[in-house]
Amino acid sequence: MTLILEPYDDLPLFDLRVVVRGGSADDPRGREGLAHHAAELARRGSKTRARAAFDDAVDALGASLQIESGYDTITMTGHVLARHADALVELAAELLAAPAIEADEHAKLVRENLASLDAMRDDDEALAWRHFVRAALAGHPYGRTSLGTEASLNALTVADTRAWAERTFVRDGVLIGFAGAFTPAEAEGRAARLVGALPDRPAAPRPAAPAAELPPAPRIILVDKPERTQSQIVIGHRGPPAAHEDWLPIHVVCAIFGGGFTSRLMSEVRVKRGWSYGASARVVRARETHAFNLRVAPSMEQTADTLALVFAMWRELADQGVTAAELEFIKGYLSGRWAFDIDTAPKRLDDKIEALGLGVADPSRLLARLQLLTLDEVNAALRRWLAPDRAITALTCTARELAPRLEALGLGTIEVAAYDAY
Amino acid sequence: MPILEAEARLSPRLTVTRHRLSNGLGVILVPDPSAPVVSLHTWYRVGSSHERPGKTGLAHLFEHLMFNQTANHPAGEFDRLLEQVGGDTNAATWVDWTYYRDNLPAAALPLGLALEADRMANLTLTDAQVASEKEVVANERRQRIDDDVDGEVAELVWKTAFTSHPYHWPTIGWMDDILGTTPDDARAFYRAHYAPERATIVLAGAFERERALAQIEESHGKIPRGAAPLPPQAAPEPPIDKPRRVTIRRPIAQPRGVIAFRGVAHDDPDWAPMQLAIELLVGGETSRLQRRLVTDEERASAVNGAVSPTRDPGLVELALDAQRGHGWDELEEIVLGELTRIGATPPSPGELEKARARLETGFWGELETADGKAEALGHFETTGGDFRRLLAVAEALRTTTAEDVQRACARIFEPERRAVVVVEPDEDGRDDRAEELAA
Repeated sequence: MTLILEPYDDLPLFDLRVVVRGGSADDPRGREGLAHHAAELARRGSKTRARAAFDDAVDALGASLQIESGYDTITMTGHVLARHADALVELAAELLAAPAIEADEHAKLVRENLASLDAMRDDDEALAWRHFVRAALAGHPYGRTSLGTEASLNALTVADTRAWAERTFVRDGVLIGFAGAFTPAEAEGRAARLVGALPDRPAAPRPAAPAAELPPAPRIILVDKPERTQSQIVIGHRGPPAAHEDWLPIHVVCAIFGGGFTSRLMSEVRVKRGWSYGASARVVRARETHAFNLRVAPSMEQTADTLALVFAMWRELADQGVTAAELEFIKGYLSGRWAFDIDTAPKRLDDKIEALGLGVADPSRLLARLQLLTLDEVNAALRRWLAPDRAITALTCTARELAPRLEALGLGTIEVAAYDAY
Repeated sequence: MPILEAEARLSPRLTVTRHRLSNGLGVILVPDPSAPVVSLHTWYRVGSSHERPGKTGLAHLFEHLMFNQTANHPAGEFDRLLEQVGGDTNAATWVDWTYYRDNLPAAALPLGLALEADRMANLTLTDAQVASEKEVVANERRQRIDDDVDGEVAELVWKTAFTSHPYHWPTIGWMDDILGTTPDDARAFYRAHYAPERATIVLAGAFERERALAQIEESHGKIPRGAAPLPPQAAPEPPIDKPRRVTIRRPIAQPRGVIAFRGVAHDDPDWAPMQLAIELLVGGETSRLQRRLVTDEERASAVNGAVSPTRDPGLVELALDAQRGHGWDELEEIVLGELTRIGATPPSPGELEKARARLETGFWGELETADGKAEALGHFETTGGDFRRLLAVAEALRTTTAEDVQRACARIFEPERRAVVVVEPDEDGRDDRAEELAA
């Protein structure tokens, strides 16, 4: 067991985290959405206290208690007034020891998750992201949907969920964290209570998966939705894993290209032309290869011009790299901003938990490496990873208006997908 | 030196003070050394309710323009100087206020103060900057309202519930007004509203109180007064005399909508009772409507609610998404029944205590970051006239009785006085907006 403590007693609050191995990257093919579904179902009552009574007990404390699935971890998160911390820990331990996983709640949750699919389709940016990830990370579990599909959710059984809970909630490899107002003795006792609740079984091994590769040719996916006045656009391809030595240089490149109001994308797309409210570049921080991506949201009329501009800027970046002045500027920006990643006890706790989960250096060592990064290192990493001519571009838009104009840009093969078909 | 006007204790180790400079600028300080950061907020007592028809969206558009150039700094310099040290800067506008926030490493406080003082007094605007920013805001509107069904519903609810009061129009403005704004409109707005006597600086984080006061005096103390009088406070909106309903069709899978009632102003004695009422109706898994509509009967996939924290009476809103196989009408009928019940019978002691505990947890949670502290204090100072209202509301939440909740609900939740906006699925793929506009 790993225990992380972040004491802070100026406010009367207490946060807990219990992290175990597992996550949506482990979902079997055809059972996409299993971890997301099972984590929520495991929160719905224990073998000794049905869902309604369990929820009453949590709400009576004014607390929140959730179990959520990431790609590679399952995290129980609790938040409560410090005077009720022991009571919340007892409830958390009760769930970890024996989640109810009842058939009627399973069926109900399937229906709720199908409704969540409906809600996701109302979010144009989420739709573009869903289609982008599927294409950019094809072949890797990260490329499959963590929420599930109509077919995969309907295929889930309560037996799948029970088996998932049995192999996931185990003592092996568990990480526990507390933040807020507590004494060392209280922390020790609460950690022992939580660990003691977990069965002493080995954690399931992580399934191996091939890393996502660049597509052989660029593709443009139009997620076709009626009545759009604007396009939500995600452009990119695979990026380095968080523990890869190139992750930090590519993160730096993203900050220079689309990280803040003074970044290249913001300056050209928003400030000079007013073509999009937001314009950003990011590399996802994940355990395995995930995505480098650019986002803009121009009006339908300005979509073709915006895409042409963004691709021209991206090619220039890939060809010529960043400048020494940009690198020096961004070192100040990123190291100063780090203070806001750790300005509360819960954030400090989550920062450390994330680093452990990703297998990356302690955040302070990452900062030290940032200061030592050279221009040659950054531009060499950029040349290894950025490939604008093999990009995936996903747009939520009204396709019939845009397809001919995008065809003329020659940025890739155009495919059209109905917005409610995946 | 600035005059000390008020002092209050936020927690055993966090003390808040309010000071006043001779030019009328308010200064609220809450030192908190727990992290090496400061959050510097500048709140202006001007928002979209101070606009007039035909010029809607000006307060928000102007907020964007404040990030342009001044007499001392060329365009882009404001962001560049702050980002260079790791600062994060943004702003927000709503009906009663506009605020600018700079989250900074503690050592960068003098830089933040100098830049904020500079743009309070020395902003210059070019025609090209105004033209470009209008396009940005038009795209923001498309993203947040025109292509976002929840944003569109939120706009329609206020438009429907208010007909004469300025809360009728959206803070982002109508599209035609955004595109019709002229550089002279923006310059006149700046001269009228951006002056020290109409602003409050709120500073939270790692700083020493007396030193920070001296720094603020140095950066802002010489800025002259000069705000134009605010428009007279809008006349109260006449009550809704019969239910108002708007139905639109959009490409969504299930019906959804909002039921709204005219609410209470931020300083109304029923503010705290309404907060508790909304919490026990839709807050948490065991709230009345969540448990009945989502958990037990599966008629809805989501229920939410809010009491708007506005200077004038705003709205109490309940938003519902229908679950597959269910329609809007059954949701509305059940909600109205529950609202009638809560107005007729006080909640049980256990139910009330649960809502109280959830709100207390939320209250402290909002104050965890320096930015959260500055936002809460700035909001209460600007909207309610005194940051200590934050603590008074917290106390009122502790002392409100079940009968207070019942009485407030009976006052607010009159079914005949509701405004309802419903979105039904539109599966024909046609764009209905043009037809709706024509109608």
